[in-house]
Amino acid sequence: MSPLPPRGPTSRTALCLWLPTFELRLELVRSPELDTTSVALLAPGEGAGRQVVGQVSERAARAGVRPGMLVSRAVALCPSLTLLEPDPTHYEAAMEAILECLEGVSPVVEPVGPGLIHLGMDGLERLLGPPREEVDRVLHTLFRVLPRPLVAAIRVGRAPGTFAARVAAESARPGAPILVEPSGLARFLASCPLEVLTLSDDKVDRLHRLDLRTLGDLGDLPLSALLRQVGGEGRILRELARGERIDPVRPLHRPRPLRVSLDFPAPVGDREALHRGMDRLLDRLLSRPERRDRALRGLRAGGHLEDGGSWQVEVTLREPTARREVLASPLRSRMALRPPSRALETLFVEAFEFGAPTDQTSLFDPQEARTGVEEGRTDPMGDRRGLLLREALRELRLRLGHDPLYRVVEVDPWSRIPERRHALMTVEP
Amino acid sequence: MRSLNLPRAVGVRTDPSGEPLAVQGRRAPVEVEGIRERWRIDDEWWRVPISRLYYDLVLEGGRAVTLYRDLCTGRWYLQ
Repeated sequence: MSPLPPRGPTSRTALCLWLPTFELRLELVRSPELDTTSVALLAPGEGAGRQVVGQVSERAARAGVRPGMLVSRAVALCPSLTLLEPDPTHYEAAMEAILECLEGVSPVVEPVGPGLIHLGMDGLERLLGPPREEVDRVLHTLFRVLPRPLVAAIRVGRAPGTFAARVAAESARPGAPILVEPSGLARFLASCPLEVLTLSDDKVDRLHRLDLRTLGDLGDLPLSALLRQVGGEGRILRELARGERIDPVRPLHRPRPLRVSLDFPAPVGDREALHRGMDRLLDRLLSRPERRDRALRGLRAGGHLEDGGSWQVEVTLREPTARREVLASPLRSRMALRPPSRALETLFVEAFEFGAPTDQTSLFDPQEARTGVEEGRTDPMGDRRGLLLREALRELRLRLGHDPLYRVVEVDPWSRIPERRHALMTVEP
Repeated sequence: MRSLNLPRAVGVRTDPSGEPLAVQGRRAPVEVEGIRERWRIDDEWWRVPISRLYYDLVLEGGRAVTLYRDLCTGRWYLQ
């Protein structure tokens, strides 16, 4: 999910929905015959390195297979292990459907990660009823997009603030949500183990050596002592542990992505052919009216692999742009780093993050200049628009006594120092 | 020709570890709601060294700003 700043209302009361091993469960829904076998999902890897195991089923875990383990070792431990190729496109579509469904229940929906969502519940009591009924209504809504076993496996926590709600969801069993009232927040947190905090293992070890085991122990420690042990984050950790810090649920603004796709008549594995396909798709994407002249910043390319599974890469550009060659270059590099494991049956390109509209700069676009030269005009601003512009500039200069119009020129667009990338130059009439 | 996006000095309140807590606004300090990203730039060590620690912040009210701490002088700039 793209981390855009929050917009709109926030909510102090948080409902955390957590479906552990989200991706693996989706695969088991798709292939129910695997439900009674040992299954593991391969971790999405970079390059041609040794593959490791991602999420594992309970049966595989009982055989000793663990996430992060090398595939060779996992197979040695569990010879009947079925390894599945990850299908990120499918998981994202499922997550998107869940979010859309939940947006019908609460206006404040915050996707946190795969299978982990925070829902703002402030002001919904009159609509949905008391907390326990709220939870039932939310889960019931999910039946529209998820099969019953998946909804039944969701763990739910409801508490003031996202931290406590997440801790409650992680402690809850499926079908038995943990509901924490504001008056019981400090008591609930005090009994939770330190591991619920997002602390590095060595910091947790250090706190254990001081005989601190629970959030209650941590909250009782003087602030100065805690700062000495864990550094600057100690202040926030102490506030969280004591239930004094309530982080509200913040809805994430998700611009509607724009997607274009291509079905190959036969699976394509040749890199050059895929590059050409990607270029065509980028051209189509840039010419879509829904783009409304916005520059693109976040791009995703992917497709369905021959014989199942999908492949996907993602790039976020430092500067939004609407130039095809600038968009294509990082996508190609990413593709070289993480190529599809098999030939692709389809290819898509999706823009998921946008910049400001590019309309304004097109007035002085070099393309305009080239067109002018090609048409035999020596003055790139020699068309009707150029004449009007020139006239307007002359008038403004006479009235103001200086050149009031500038154009942005690229000086060193790839410089690491932001102020060296672009400059303002006066437009000469 | 004028450079664009020149850094402007700004007052920043930090926590003991040096992370920004509030940024001086026009009238009063504005609390930092979240740090979206941080990155460091070290350049031109052979000339006048440039060493900056950048923060992409979301301020109270949802405004997003980019600022950096000049690690040579310790001063904060908005960019």
